[in-house]
Amino acid sequence: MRYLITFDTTIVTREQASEWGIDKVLVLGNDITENLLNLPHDKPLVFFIPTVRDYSNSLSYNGVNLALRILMKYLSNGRTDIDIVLMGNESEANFLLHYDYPNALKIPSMHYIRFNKKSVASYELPLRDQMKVEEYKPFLDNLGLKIPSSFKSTHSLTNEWCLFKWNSFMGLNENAPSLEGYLYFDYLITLEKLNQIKSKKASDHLKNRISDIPASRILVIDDKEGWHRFFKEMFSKTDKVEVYCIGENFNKLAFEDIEKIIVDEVDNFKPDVIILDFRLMEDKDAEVKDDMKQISGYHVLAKVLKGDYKEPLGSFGRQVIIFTATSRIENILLLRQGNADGFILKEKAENYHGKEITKKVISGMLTTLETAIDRAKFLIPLNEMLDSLLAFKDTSSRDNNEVFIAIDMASQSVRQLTQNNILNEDILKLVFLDLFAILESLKEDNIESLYSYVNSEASRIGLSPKYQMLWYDIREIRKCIAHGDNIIRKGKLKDKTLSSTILLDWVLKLVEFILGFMTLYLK
Amino acid sequence: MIYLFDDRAQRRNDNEERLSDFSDLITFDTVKLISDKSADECIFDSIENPECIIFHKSYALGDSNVTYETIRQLFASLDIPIVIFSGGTEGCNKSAKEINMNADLMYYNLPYFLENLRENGSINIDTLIWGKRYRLNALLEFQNSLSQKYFINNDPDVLLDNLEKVKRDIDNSCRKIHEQDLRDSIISDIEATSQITWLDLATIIDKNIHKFQ
Amino acid sequence: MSKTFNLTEDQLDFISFMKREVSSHADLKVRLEARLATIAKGTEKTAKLDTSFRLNHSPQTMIKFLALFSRDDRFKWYTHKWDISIPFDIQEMISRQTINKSILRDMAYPKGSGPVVNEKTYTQVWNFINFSNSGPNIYSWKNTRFENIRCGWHSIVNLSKENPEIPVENLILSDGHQFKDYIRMFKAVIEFRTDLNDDDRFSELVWSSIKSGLPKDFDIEFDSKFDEIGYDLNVYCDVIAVLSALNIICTWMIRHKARSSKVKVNLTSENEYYILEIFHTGSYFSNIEKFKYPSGDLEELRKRLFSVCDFSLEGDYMKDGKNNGSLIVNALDENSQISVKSLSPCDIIISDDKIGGVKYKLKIYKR
Repeated sequence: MRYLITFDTTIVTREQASEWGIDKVLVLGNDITENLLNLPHDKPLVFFIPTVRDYSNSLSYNGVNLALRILMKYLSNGRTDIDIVLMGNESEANFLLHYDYPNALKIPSMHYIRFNKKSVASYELPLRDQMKVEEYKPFLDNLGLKIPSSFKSTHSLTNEWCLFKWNSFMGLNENAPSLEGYLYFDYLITLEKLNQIKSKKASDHLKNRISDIPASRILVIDDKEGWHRFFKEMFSKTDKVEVYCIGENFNKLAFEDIEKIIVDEVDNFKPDVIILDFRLMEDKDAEVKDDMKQISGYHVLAKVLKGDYKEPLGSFGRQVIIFTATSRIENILLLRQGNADGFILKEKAENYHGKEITKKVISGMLTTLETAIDRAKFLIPLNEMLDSLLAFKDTSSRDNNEVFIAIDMASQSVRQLTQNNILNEDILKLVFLDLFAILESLKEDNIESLYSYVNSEASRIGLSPKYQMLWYDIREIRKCIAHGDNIIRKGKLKDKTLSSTILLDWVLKLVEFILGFMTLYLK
Repeated sequence: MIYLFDDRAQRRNDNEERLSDFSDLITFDTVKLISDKSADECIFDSIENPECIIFHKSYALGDSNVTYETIRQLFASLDIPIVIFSGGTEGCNKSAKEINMNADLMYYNLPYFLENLRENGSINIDTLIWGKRYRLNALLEFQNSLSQKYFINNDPDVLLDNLEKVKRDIDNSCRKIHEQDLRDSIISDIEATSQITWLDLATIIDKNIHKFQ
Repeated sequence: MSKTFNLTEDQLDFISFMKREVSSHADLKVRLEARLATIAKGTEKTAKLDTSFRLNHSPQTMIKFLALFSRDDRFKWYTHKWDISIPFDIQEMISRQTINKSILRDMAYPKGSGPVVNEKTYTQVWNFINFSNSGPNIYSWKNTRFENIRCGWHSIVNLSKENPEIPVENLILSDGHQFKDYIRMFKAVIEFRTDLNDDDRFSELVWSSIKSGLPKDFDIEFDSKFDEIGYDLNVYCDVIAVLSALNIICTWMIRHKARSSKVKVNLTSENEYYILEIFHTGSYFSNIEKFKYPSGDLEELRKRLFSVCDFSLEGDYMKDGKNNGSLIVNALDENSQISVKSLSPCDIIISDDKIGGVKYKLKIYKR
């Protein structure tokens, strides 16, 4: 079937098909839509397309770009019985000199003739072998297509491309309307589709992993609604994970308003994990040249959510994962200094060469989230209890300076240790000892004197039996750590190995005990 | 300073923002009419050392007695490029007195125009009309227009039947893009061909485009 | 009724001196009396015209009328690309047309005396934009090739309703053309433009019109300034009116081919107007009566150019084979009026100057 695409019905109208030796004339703006794919499947298709659509901007060669996009559309749908004949007003030699991507004519399906009725009517396609879809890949790579310079910003380009790729990989919403019209992206999307069949099993495996994620709450702070949809859809299959998203209008608000919204939402939703976009206010962030601390995401991280170990903010225990495309080491280090707990790195269009890395990236993201959730389950209650301990200084009627100093120092040390390290046995042991030092500040003699002191004070202050029972095992764990032992000798945990699981549990119980004890002791 | 007058606020603001890096070269302005002053006075009071004026053809000046036509003459008296853009204009036309352009095309090429000004320190209005590769674009426009008229629907092997008109069109089109040498070369090649067909004409033009690009 | 005129000896002497003729007073008296009687007759004729309703020749009003389609938001959309961010409601446009029609009609058919738009200019426009122009007799308008076009906004009403997602200008009509092809055609007849087909530029239309209107044995010369000015000429004008006038002028020149077959075409630009001058060099007038009592194609031309552009003729006057000075005939100027289809007479100036032929001048206003 021979089709001629016309941009101007003063040159060719539908009624002139037979004069041009064509089965049908398609008019741009009316007939050229997605429905191009609904053309007959049983016969090979030939499209005659003028190279230039707009003569006042001839060098844009919009007709050739349309032709390439049509070809790529068909290839993406697994169809190769397509030939495209470009019709130009110049010689082929001149066309090759002027067009940005002259290798287009090396693609076996692409041909060139002079734009002339008689020439089209008498044109016979050269015979060629039918090719497989994958065989087109090197020809497409050879085009040398570049990222369009007219794209809004690198940040938005990365977002759009990454969203498209991840949605596509996970089999979620596949539309990428903002990428439409760019030849470069059609090329990437075509490459991506050529890879897609292989990636189906991988995405199924990842979907299974998602259902195994423990119960948790995730807050997404990002100005792109596309990411809200992506994360909500990704976790929609499991009802253990609750996802809440904010930020779609942050680009238009003042920073003070954004701060307030974030603080309020965190208070209400109480997330375990916060996924925070590094460039949260796209336009304002675009103006930042050198000082990355001015970037909105950094500011939210350091000044609204985390603070530091000396002056922690309300979300110090929550796990804040930075969502970014940056690969610059100085940015990563800066965010680490701001107490970021992890990173999810976006895929960049310019780094895509057809090799499939999305599986690795999404798998890495799930690992990051799983780790963050585990850490949050420990660090959130730990930090809350530390905050309560610190508050004693303001509320206690007794003057117990050494205790307050000990609480301060322990709190700083514990926060610093837990923020900057993996929560393994060694770290948890140190944390345990740091916390225990709060009790040691009550009596500066030897440890046995301390134990007796605490025992007697516990009775005096009327400490509940629950806490008194905790105290016994706390002492045994402390003894174990102090002697370098791995096996607990006495108490409820007798003969158990002092593992990180036990330590995680008993660090919290220790803080609980200290809190319970001090509440009555410091009254 | 380049002055761009556009009464369509959204379009003006969007482009002003998009081209904020060039704010030292171009001012996006509006016409503020004052009751006891004429429109041209109001405009001239608001511009200082204009190097180029870009004006929206159907600018609603708020006074039905004052139209673009009133101001057109006054702009012509300044010896600088005057560009009149409109959504209703197709493509562009460059004449000795002014340039008429499609609004979308004007805004599309504006970044190239400003970049070129920054790089070279002087106004090259052709970059606004034809973009970055302005000379080649102009030559191709010339070729495409002539082809549309004389080649696309004609039998390539048939002899020309209206040589006078063809030469006239070549004359006019070359004058429009200031390519006198191109014109002379094409006419000379045409006259050297005894029995000239439409294909011959297309080939002559193609050969000369290649020669002069 | 003939009048008697008392001409004194002094008057006759003076006239004889001024004309540098040696004629007897008796002969001079007869000639003068005849001439004065004719003038009186002409004045009487004028006196008989219906003076109750006078419409003034006003190309400036035509410009205002046609410029609505570029400047006025109520009319712009007929010829401009619709802003696709705003939904296009054809029904709303149809209902608004009643107001638009009355604005246009008031300019072509004013209720009282004053400037007026040519009726044909109005129908050219109205037949294109009228949504109700349908049924067995569709009123046509002419394009620059003088083809009668039956396509207009009425042609896309149903198509637009059936295809609301397709921009109106892209809708394909039954002849295979997109509607925008007709919008462009229409734009070319209400304005001499530079952004449509090059063949629709002023210089090209005039060139083609004269070249095709005169046979090949005419020697036609276009002044060098003709292309320079005419190629980029951009004014609102009833283009068909001007081209129709050129067709008539060509028929006159052919009619008097025996006198000369040389034509020079000039174009000049003044502050307020352009002057297109077609100079039939070597030709001459032989009949003053046709200007005093215009009829036939002169009257047709005057009516067609009324409120489009000024029109004048200048030419050597040969009576009975003898040189009789020259005539300047202002067929249409700021004093011209029309009343119940009758035009005011031409203003005729008799001069001694030699013209060298017959000049047809169209004064096309810029604003």
